Amino acid sequence: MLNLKSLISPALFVLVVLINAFSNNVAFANNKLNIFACEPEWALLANELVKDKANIISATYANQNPHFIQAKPSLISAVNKADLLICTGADLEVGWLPLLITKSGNINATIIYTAQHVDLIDKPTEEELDRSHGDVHSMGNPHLHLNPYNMIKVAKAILNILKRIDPENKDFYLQNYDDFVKIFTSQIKNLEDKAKNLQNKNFISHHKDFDYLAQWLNFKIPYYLEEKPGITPSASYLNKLLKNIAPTKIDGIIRSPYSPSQASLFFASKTNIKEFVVPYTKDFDSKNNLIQLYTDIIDTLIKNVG
Amino acid sequence: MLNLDNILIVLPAILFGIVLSLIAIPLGREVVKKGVIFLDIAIAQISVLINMFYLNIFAHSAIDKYSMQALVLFSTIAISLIFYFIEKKSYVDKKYLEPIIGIAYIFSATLATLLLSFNHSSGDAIENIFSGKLLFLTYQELFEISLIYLVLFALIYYNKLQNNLLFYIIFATTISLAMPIVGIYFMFVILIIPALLFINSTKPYFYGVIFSVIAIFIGTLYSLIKDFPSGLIIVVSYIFCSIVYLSIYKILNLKQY
Repeated sequence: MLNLKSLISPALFVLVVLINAFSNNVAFANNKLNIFACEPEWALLANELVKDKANIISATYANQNPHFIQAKPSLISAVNKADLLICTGADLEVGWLPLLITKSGNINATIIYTAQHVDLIDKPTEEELDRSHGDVHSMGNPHLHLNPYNMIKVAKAILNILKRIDPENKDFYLQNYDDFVKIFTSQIKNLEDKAKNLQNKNFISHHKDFDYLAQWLNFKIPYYLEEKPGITPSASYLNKLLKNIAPTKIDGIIRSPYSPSQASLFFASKTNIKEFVVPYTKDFDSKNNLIQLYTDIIDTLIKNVG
Repeated sequence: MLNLDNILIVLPAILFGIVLSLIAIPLGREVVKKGVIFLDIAIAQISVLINMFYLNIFAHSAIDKYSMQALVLFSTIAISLIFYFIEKKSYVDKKYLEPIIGIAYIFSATLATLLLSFNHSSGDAIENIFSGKLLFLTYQELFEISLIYLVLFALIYYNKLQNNLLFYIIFATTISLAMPIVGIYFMFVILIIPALLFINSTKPYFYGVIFSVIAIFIGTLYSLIKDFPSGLIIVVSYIFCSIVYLSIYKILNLKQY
């Protein structure tokens, strides 16, 4: 009886597994509003407005590249149950979001693409719009959350949707929005003050993901290590870049936690410019406030370049 | 989490695994008998390379996915026939087939990486090479691919792979269609492991399918509970089930391997 005996161990395994099966936390289980954020910054922002009146899940984590994602069962299930999806758009999630939405079969959710509610920088011209130039984001630079003033604009958009899909709690959301705008704005102003000395400094960035930070804090990013966006730079390009930067005083080489380190380390070793990782986003948990992300970023910059 | 919704989400993946194993068992057996284990990952890698290549060519034009898939399929078959001709040539000693196929695999993997560094529009294709989009499979896609596999299955059943040319064509087709869904690793284990385990068995096809179904089922179950990508966990499950199976045989001293 070959088959029966070979079924014993797998059966035992299944039994053990089933015993563990009911021990996991449940995400979208109760009657609250379900919010699915594509990146953790939107989860943090949504949390400022909804507090405990909604369940919030983020599809990606702080150290993860938001362009790519692993297909986990819980993600499909979460999108299926979501009432509201908050994503960046501008082709940031184009590699995985459409598939996820199709597979989840959710036709009722509202989607907010935050890029539609702010002014994007770096909108490419007609000639630049083919992929021979690398991963050009065709609508502009999508890493918009790094300018905190954009978060206020997006918060307004989220508020408007919340008022529509959950009218019962709209006064609560409105109150939270007003509080958020007031407190957040004053916190930002404090951070701007703290970061005064960063103004007009020059940084080299691995990828074009810190441009909105430069816009906010008035520093410059005159060069990028990537020759074409999304593609690791070649040694010959980096050597050429080394010669080009000679007249400019560069204060630091920055990269996000998910960017590869090789190019930055190579460049730093050839130029004696300090290279370091700057936080790009912050994981969502209900204890974190959105402002903490910007505080961390400014602290990191000040610590490394003074 | 193990609940009805999640089970419904993974059901197409499980069904696809079963459908794939029905074709893969006889093909894998043939591959193991020929002693060219690397053939499947070589062809898998070649199909990915061809996919990336065409994505580059058609970056500007809107080509529908069926035409694209057909194009990749026929190109993969064409290139895979190189192996057929190499095998046929009498001046190539049979024992050199495996290293030649290994070289072909490395070559196409290298080309794929080079292609990527020139132009990122093929990046999406290579991202899925290892784990595939198994969880994203819809019933529509499952139905379409099952129809084709049904035809292949009929061909295998009535012809039984005696025609070597037909074997290569069916093999390349199976892999080319499955690659975007399951990835290289799953493809490899589903072809090789059941074939290897039941190589001397009296009913290798029957036991092979049962083993595959169990391994896929357990793997999917575990991926649901631990919230991991299913394709990769199923590979682990195959290995785990093999170890369990072989241990039982060792303990019960039933068969020599």
